[in-house]
Amino acid sequence: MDVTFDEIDGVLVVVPRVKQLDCASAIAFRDLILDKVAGKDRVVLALGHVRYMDSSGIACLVHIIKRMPAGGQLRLAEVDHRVYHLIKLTRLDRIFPAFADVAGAVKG
Amino acid sequence: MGTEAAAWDAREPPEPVPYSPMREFVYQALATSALALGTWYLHWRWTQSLNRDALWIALPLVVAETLAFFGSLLFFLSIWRTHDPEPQPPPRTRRDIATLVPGEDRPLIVDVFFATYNEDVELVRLSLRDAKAMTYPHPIDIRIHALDDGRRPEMRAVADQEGVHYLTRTTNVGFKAGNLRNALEHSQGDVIVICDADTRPFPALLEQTLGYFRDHDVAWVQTPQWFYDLDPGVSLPDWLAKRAKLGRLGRLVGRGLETVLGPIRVGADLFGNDPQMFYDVIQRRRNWCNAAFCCGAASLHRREAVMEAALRAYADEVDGAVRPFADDVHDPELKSDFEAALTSEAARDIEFTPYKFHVSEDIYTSIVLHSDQSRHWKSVYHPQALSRMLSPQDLLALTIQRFKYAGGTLDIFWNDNPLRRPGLSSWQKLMYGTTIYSYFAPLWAVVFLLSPIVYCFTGIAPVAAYDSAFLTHLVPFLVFNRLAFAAGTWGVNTYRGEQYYLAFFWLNLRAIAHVLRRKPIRFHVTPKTRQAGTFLSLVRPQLVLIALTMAGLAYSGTLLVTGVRSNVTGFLTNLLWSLNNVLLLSVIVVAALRKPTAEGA
Repeated sequence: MDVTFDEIDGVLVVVPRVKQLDCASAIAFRDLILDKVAGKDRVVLALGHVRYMDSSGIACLVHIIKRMPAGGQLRLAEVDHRVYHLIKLTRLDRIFPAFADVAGAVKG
Repeated sequence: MGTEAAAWDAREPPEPVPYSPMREFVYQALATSALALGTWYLHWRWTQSLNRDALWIALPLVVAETLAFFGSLLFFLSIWRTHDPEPQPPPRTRRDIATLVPGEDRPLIVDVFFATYNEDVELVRLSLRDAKAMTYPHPIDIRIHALDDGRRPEMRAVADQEGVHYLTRTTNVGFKAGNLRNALEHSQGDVIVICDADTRPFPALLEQTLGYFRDHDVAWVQTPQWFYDLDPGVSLPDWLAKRAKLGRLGRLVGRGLETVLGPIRVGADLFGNDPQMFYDVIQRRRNWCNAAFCCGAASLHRREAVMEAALRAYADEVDGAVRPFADDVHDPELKSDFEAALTSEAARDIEFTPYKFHVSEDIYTSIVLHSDQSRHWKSVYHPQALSRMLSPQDLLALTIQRFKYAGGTLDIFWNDNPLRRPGLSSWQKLMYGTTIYSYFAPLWAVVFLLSPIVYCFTGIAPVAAYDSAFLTHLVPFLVFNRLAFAAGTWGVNTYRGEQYYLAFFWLNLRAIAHVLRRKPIRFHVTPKTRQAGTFLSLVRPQLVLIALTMAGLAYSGTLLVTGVRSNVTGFLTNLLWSLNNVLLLSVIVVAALRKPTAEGA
């Protein structure tokens, strides 16, 4: 799975370069990312490439925040509207704030 | 077990009772009549037949009768109509069961979970092998997992030999629900099949059921749990001829009785394990209003439904933890920072659990999904058995299982009452309500058990008079009630179920007490109980009641013969009533005496 990791102003930015993040790819994604987020106060997940996410994909967000330290925040950026629909439907939008672009998510 | 298992192996599950609109109509007519007659009878009981000189017994009985009648009303309504689901062709690819973005498709992935803890690994091997033999008409990726909460090297070895995945974890948090959650996190199928260690799927399980998921709203499919090891008993003519040593005469009498009453098998399914009444009658008639609930083993789940509901429950819980504190802060900027900090805390602390960590996680998860207002998930009950499993083999195993059912259901009612959940339709509430209500039955069963004893010993009747007016009001109701019950459960043997419904009154009372005292729902087994060889210690209250009832009959019979009492109708009414009670209670005593088998103990 193609995932890139950048560090901008001390914030970890994760970019999965896949069209689909679903039950079939969630484990691989989780395995790649969980060790990297441990101990980070703020992580931005840039979903610009992702066109489809199911609940298993979204559950990865929960697994990520559980690895982060107290006060840590996981932010989303460039979320496709269909993907965001499911995040809103599951009411996770209150836990994972979404931003239009990566810069906004890093600074805001 | 080896040779017996071979004998059971050839058994086929019974076909569901064929649907007949005519019989359904007859049932509805009889049930309506029974309910009308019952209302008439109870009206008369409340207004004209209370023994005002002995209200301490008269009131409990009339209240018990009313509550039991309400139970009949719920039951009759809950089995009002049958609507079997339309079978659907097996889906070819994932696109057939989910909305996908263009260009992305693949064969279905199905995870088959076998939850095990301490079962014989060779038994689990049989289940794994049967799962491997499942067939499907299209390319499909079936992944079989042995979920071993016992962390046993020998289970891992069997999984390796069978070429299936072996999954375990370092703790036993949440027991079976926790085990399933762990498996969900480590697997990726679109559909999940839940099996117990002894669930042996038939080859057609997936072919017959995956089609229902073509409807994107179907969250789970439950198939009947069929026990292939039930004791078939002995036919009545054989029993009379050989066991009762009545020879040819006995056989003749037996045949005669069977000609009138239909086939009778003595000692069949002594433990009342046959779940046909529950599946073929109760669950099947919940299909039409989307209220069939999940019973764990032999069910299939859309992963998306399980996960989506879990995410929402998690988000709500986080929000519930943050809201009360955040609402106290009024400065907008401070509030937003404070809220973010609290949310982060709560999000890390709160469990994310696809299956409720609850003794009755299956019915609980069903309620959560059925009441999900933003999705309106559907459930399907598939009427044909597509797997087989083993039944509890002794009274202790049965007691532990039933205590869990009763306690779990009552606990849900007490702490998260589905009747108050927005999102369930009235009929769904009625169905769940009927299940919950049935577990309160021991509260009035006690009164029915004690009333004849009180009458026999004291001569005090709870009714104004045991006279012809009493019988005129009662008998038509009882007759129509029986007829309606017979028509409503046609083709299904219900007698064992009725016996245990009363005979387990004590266990169910204890379950109620347990829930009220907020004790964990686990049946406490003393080592002594296990060692005794028989389980008479589990049925002491039933033994006492049987003894008291028989003594009461002897006593009041003597008074009648010697002329001290003169009310023959009163005696006869209480005689029949007492004998019925004893007949119903006795099953559990016989079951307690049955020597436990090696596996059951």
